[in-house]
Amino acid sequence: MAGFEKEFVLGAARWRRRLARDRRLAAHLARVLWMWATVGRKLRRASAAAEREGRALPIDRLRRGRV
Amino acid sequence: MIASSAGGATSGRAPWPPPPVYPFAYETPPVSGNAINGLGEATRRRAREVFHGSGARPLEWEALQSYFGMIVPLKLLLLWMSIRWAARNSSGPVAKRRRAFASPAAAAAHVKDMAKRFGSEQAGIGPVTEDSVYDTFTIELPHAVVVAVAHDPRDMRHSPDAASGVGTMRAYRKAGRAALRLARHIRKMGWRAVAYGQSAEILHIPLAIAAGIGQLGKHGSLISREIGTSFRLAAVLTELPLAHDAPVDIGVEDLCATCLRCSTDCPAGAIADAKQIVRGTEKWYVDFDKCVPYFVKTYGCGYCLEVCPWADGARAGWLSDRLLAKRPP
Repeated sequence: MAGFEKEFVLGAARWRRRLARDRRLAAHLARVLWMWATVGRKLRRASAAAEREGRALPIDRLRRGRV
Repeated sequence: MIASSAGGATSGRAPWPPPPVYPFAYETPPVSGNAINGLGEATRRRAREVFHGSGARPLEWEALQSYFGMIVPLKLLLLWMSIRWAARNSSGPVAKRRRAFASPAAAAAHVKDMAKRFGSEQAGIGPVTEDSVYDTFTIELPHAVVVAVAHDPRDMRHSPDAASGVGTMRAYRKAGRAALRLARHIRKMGWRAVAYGQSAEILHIPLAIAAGIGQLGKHGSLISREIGTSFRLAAVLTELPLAHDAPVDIGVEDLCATCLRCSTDCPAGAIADAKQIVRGTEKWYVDFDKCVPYFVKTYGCGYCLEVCPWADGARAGWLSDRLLAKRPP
């Protein structure tokens, strides 16, 4: 559960707050999809090339918390 | 973490299952996942998040988790996104007027009936124990309704492959939906309830064992008499007073003690043939450092579930009867 979902207090949420939560979650998911389509595309290609050539891709260069 | 030799593809066809040669590596290897899980620790303690984290603490294996999210097929990513979107309603407003039940047993029977109506194939009720919540979380709700949904066996036949990963996510989605609908139903009856589908705060397996869903197998997954071993779990934690089910003994220990199927077949060699001490308890344990990189490489390997003699839900009951009948009186 992401941080913004923890703000949602059980039984105390009004529609305005719920709408704000939905918008933030939608933005988060859109960002994940965009990252998958752009950065992920390069990574999948690099990963496939590394596998073919029998070498390993250093993954700790990935920026933390982006997915 | 990185294997040195390539798998032997001598006939021109790709080896099956894929060998544990990984196209990724850490420049600085993180602390062992087994150490985080408490392998070899004699004292009891709560579990720490190690993979698929909640964001409550930075994970040592986070780079691998990020990599996993980037390389999965689009179908798998979209399924994950739909689960995530639905999970925004895991908690919500509670009705002011409470529905009273004649007894906790009556409430439990009603809740289980509703769980089945909402798509669960098996449901059990147990206490929320310390062992079933990660150490970074506190959960006040005392009762857990655990729901189980079987994989489609046609998907799991492809394991370890992206198709089985997609099948697994479908089962997660169905189990998560059942839990979400059940939690909403309990809240409408005036009791607090939160659904935990593919969430990172609680450990579903200890909850499910306490709720009588099944027993832990050698492959580190749960085995149920009703639906075998190929299924996914979700849970609803609630304050509604419910009668608890007792943990079950279906004969899993009798078979796993001598069966070598999953430990022999595991492509990563992650499954041990003997129980190990983990956080003060002796139990079956899967080597995290070997299993998870292979799991990532194959988009969610479930090979051990597929080859398990308990995999077929239709045969699990028969197998359990045979094993229990063989026990000395």
